Formats: sequence, C-alpha cells, structure tokens
Amino acid sequence: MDLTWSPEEEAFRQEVRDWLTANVPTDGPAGDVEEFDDSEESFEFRRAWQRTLGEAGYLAMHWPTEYGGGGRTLVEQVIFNEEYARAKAPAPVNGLGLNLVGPTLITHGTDEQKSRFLKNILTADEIWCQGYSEPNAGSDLAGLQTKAELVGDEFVINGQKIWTTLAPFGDWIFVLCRTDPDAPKHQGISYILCDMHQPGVEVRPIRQITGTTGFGEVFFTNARTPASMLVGSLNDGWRVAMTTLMFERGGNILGTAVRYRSMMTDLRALAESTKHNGGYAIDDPVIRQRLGQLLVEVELLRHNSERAMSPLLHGEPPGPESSMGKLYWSEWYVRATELAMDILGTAGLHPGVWLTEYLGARASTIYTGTSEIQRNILAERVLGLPRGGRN
Amino acid sequence: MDFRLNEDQRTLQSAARDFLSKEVSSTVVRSAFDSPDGDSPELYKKMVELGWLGLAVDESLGGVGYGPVEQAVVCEQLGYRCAPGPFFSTACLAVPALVSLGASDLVGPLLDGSKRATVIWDPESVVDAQLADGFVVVDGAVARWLDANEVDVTPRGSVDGTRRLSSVTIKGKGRELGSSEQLQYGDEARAVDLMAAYLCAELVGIMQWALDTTVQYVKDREAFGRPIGVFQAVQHKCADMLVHTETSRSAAYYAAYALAKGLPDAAYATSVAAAYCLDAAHSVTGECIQLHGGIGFTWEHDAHLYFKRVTTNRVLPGSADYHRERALRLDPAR
Ligand SMILES: Cc1cc2nc3c(=O)[nH]c(=O)nc-3n(C[C@H](O)[C@H](O)[C@H](O)COP(=O)(O)OP(=O)(O)OC[C@H]3O[C@@H](n4cnc5c(N)ncnc54)[C@H](O)[C@@H]3O)c2cc1C
Repeated sequence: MDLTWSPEEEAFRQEVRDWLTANVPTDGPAGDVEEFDDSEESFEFRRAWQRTLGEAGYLAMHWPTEYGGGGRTLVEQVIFNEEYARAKAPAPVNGLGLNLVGPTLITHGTDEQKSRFLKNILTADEIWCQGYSEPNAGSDLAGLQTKAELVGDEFVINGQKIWTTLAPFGDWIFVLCRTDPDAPKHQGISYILCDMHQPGVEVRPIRQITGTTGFGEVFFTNARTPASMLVGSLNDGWRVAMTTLMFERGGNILGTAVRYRSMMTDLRALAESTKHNGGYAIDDPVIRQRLGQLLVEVELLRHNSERAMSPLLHGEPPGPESSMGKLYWSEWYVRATELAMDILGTAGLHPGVWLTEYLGARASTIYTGTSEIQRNILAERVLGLPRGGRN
Repeated sequence: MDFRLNEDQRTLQSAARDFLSKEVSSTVVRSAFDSPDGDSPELYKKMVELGWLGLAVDESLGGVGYGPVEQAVVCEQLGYRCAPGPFFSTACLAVPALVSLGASDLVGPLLDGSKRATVIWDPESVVDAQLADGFVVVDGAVARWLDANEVDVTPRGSVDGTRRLSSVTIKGKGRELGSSEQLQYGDEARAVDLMAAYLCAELVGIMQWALDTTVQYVKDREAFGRPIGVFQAVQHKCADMLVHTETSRSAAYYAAYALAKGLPDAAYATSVAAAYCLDAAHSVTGECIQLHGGIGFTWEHDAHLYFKRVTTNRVLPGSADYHRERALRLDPAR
C-alpha cells in the first residue's frame, strides 16, 4: 500500500490545476454543472467550453493521441478528473460522445467509423445520444424491440427509444436494435449508428420533474443508415453495449468522489450560514449528526474509489468494490440534498441550486441501472447468490 | 373502543371521495399548477357550497358543527387528489386561528366564500398569500388581522405550484385580535396543533395515492418477462410504503380525535403524528418515483406533484425534528 503520488504525477496535477484555475468560466448560465439545462444558451455555453478544453489539450484524456485524445495514462486521467471536479468545471456538452460512443468506437469500430466520427465528437460538431432504453425495456434492457433489417446495403430501423438524454440537441445516436428476432434475447442485438437528421427519425422532448426537457423520445420509422454503421459484428451488439455501460458506470468514479466531496463542503457551509433556532443550523445536534454521517460516507466514497481504481492502475482486473460505486454515490446524493432542504426549511422551497439538486438527485437512483438493479448485480454477480426469479 | 369512523364520518368520507374524484382530475391540478397564481376558483366555490370551509366550526358561527375528525376526513381525501387552491390556507389555517381568537365576525366571510385568508408567521414564506383577501398575522405576542390593502404580496416561484409561498410586506397595523399564543406551539393543545393535524391528514391521503398508484404500476409493468411486483426488492418497498401509510393514518386520526375531545395528550399526539407523518410521506412519495423508473422522473406523470406537495408540507408545521423533540418533552409517562 502506498497512497502517494510520484513527483511527475504531482507536477501534472499542478499543471492541470493551474490551467483550470485560469480557464474555468465563472460567468456561465447559473445552475448545476452536471445536470443538463435545456436552454439553447446553456447548450452553446457548454459547446464553447468543450472547444476550449480541446484546444488546450484537456479533452478526451482517455483517448489515444492518434484519435485526437489526450493519450494520458490511467493515473493521469484519474488526476485530471479529480482536479476537474475540484475546479467545479462544467461538463463538456458532448459527454455521451466523449465517454460512451467514442471509447466504444476506438475499441470495436472500423477504421472508417473512427475517421468519420471521432473528430466531430471532440469538436462537438456532432452531438451524440444513447439509444438504449425503450418504453418496454429499461432495467430489462435486453428485452428491447426496436428492429433493424438489412435491406441491400442499408439498415432500416423501426421502433422507439425513450429517456434519451440530449435528444432535442442530438445529431447522431447509437442505437441498440434487434437484428435477429428468433435468437435468445441477449443474442440477436446489434449496435448501430444512425443519423438523427432524416425524415425517418422524429424526436419529441420530454419534460422532467425539474421542469426542463433534458431528455426525449426518439421514434424510428423506416429510418435508414448504411450497413457500414454497424459497430462490432451483426448480432453481437450486447457485448459491444456492455463495453459502453462499463465506461458509463465505472468511468469517472474518482471524479465523482471529488464532486460529492465538494458538495459536502457546500452543504457544511450552508449549515454554517443558515439561521436556525436562534443560532445556526450547524449548532443543531441532529443536523450535525446527519452532516457528520454524510461527511464520513463521502470520505469513504473516495477511499472505495481509490481501492477500486488501484488494480486497474496496475493492470489487474477490478475487484468487487468496483461494482458498488454507482449505488453508493447516488444514494448519498439523495440524502445529502434532502439534508440541504431540511436545513433551508421554507427558504428551500423557492427556485435555487439546492432545490434543483434535490429534484435532480431523484434521477440518479434510476439512470444507468436503478439502485435495485445495482443491488441485484452485487448480490448475484459479486456474491454469487442465485438469480432472483428472472430470465 | 372503536377506532373506526362512525356512520356520519363514513358518509362524509365517501361523499368527499366521490366529489373530489369527479372534480379534481390531474388536469385540474395541473392547470392550477401552471396558472399565474395557483388558484382553482371553480373548485373552491363548490367546496364552499358543500360547507367544507366550516366543517369543524360551531353552528352558532355559521359552520357545520362537526369537529376536527370530520375535517381530517375531508383533508385526507383532498390529499389523495392533490387538490389545489386556498382551502388549506383558509380552512385549515385561518379559520381555526380566528375561531380560537374569538374573532367571530371575521369567520363568517371565510365560510361563505366571500373572503379567503391565510396566516403569517414568517412574512418571507406565507402559504398562498397571493390568493388571500385577509391575513392573520403573528406579530410577536400579539395576533392581528390585516386586510389585503394593508399588505403588499410578492408572489415567489415555489416548488409546488398548487401550494405556493409568497412574501408579504406588512404596511398597516390592522386590527388587534389579542394574544398570539394560540398560533404558537405550547405544552397544551392550541389552534396551531389543529392546523398540524389537518396537514397530517392531508399527508395520509397523499401517501395513499402514492401507495395505490405504485402497487397498481408494479402489477402492470413488466420487466424480465414478468410484472416487476414479482421481485422481492419491489415487494418489500411496497410493504414499507404500506406500513408508513397505515401508521400515519393511525397517527393523524388519533391526533384529530384527541384534539376534538380535548384530551390531555392532544398536543403530544399532534407532535407524535407530525414527527412520523412528515418523514413517512417523504419516503413514500420518493419511493413512488423510484418504483416507476424513468416515467417517475417526468413532468407528465403525477408522482412529482405529490412529491412536491410533500416537500412543501414537510416544513410548514415545524420540522419533524422539532416534533420529535416536543414529543419527548410532552411524553405523558415521563
Ligand atoms: C434522467 C434520466 C436520463 C436517462 N438517459 C438515458 C439515455 O440517455 N439513454 C437511455 O438509453 N436511457 C436513459 N435513461 C433510462 C434509464 O436507463 C432507465 O430509466 C432505467 O434503466 C430504468 O428503466 P425503466 O425506466 O424502464 O424502469 P423499469 O425497468 O420499469 O423499473 C421500474 C422499477 O422496477 C424496478 N425493477 C425492475 N426490475 C427489477 C428487478 N429485477 N429487481 C428489482 N427491482 C426491479 C426498478 O428498480 C424500478 O424501481 C435515463 C433515465 C433518466 C431518469
């Protein structure tokens, strides 16, 4: 065990920190840095920010340099993500492209796909959406029904995706489609890239409980895409999709730890500055206990994450602690924002950062696999308990 | 010993249920939510005609002459529909306040619907002030009555568009109504306890809606080739929702009963109810969203309307922490 960073790593951290201090915009649209606000203004703000990052060489640190990425080692990525979260830098607008489809193409894509798409992901000239969930396939993703049929040298896609983040702004979508209706459900699925600007693709925004339209429905009616837009082999899309999901669930766990550590600091400051029973909220023993518990848990989120990353940093397979992250942080997030609301009392009921976080937190225990599904994974895959009555 | 509602109460309950299921669709709630002021005047008018504004008010003051239990019965049904409008601020806050202050002449116009009112504890956050024509103000040790022309109301964006908090600037002195004691929690039951009990009854209705809606959904919604209600993780959450809802019902109705009968433990019972219901309702409506998955996070589904009402209600009668503390203090066996 050695929890120190080398002098080179420390130097890299300092370099990143300095750059972020000088460049993170402080004049962006108000609100949360992670959740997507649906205004054109906020979208363009984040697109510009992504380009700034790209020009400075601080974008796609995890992509090899030959594809325009940072080509950084895993250690450097971890350091970068930590500093990024510490600086409260806004998320680049094309997150699904940078973090999900980009790495998937780098692993499974053809040369043509790589040269066609990767650059525009980096420049945010093409915004990507993730077309996995359907009205009748969420937790049970493999139950998806959207069909793609190979007609000549094109796929013809019919069906519907839903809860598609960024759909109202999307240019391209990676779609999981059923290409062999007779195969067992995890087989017979293909991973296909599709242009959203065509008559066969219709997007309808869906309003979230926060009031903004962060996601939408995507309807495919004889939508067309060249056969060359298939990623991986035909009917092997489930395996390709699982690569993407791995990036999504595991990707930036240390950055997440830092992000919530800094929310903890804000929460504490809120308790210290909010008047309560003639003193301040921080003086209330009940609030102190809750704050203390959240503090302990957020510190342990960091240590869990460091442990989870360690085997990967040294070229070994992940251990069981790597599957706990999503469940752990999302449930923490819900409780932390509830405490913020309790501290604020009636003042919290008006529009504000904490109210947005409090409502938004409710999504975090649902997306990328609900808390129940995360617990099933821990019970069945990590602990090896028998599968609970599903097929 | 009989905890069941009596025949009159059951009749009132089913009348309220029928009326509200006809009158308060999700469309009605949403149109109030999206309206400039959160009002629902048609609905309010009908509630006045039914005599609901004065359910627990003596006939001598123009009321129906029932008591807190009957009003709780109606509040529960209102909660079930997430009913909008100033019924809560008027019938559950202002009316009990004025009755307890002996301001009989001010009660009449509230019962016949010619005026609507609210109570001001903190001028920064006044429940539905934007819909009120009159205000009971807690001004230190004194209570006052102010007409609309003696205040400036600034509407503020509020998480629940059907129960808003506005800020109020008090310009006039108004009419002094005597000591404000009835509007502040003490060791014995006061008007403010009644208000808390009504709020708990509303929360019971909210929880019942969330429970019914969720149970129906997990029976219908399929994943992995079967209804999601098959999974014990889902079943156990529903079972916990049931325990929270039914226990809240016991708590809220006991409090209303104790207040109605003037039992010595009425104040204690109110804090027991508030401490339990405020947290239970938050949990139940939160689980309702969770068990709906993606659709639960949409504006289109009603789950958020109830969740937001609870978010508001949770802080109105004092926090759950406050009521736990008070329950410990008032513990009759101490
Ligand atoms: C803000 C947000 C953004 C999203 N963005 C995207 C996106 O960009 N692209 C995309 O493809 N999807 C996206 N999603 C969809 C998300 O992945 C799904 O909502 C999620 O997987 C749940 O699926 P569902 O909504 O169909 O719920 P269901 O699967 O119907 O689940 C309903 C309830 O049943 C429970 N349940 C289901 N199966 C089991 C089981 N076996 N055991 C125990 N409990 C179970 C669930 O935990 C949940 O509580 C997004 C969702 C949200 C809320």
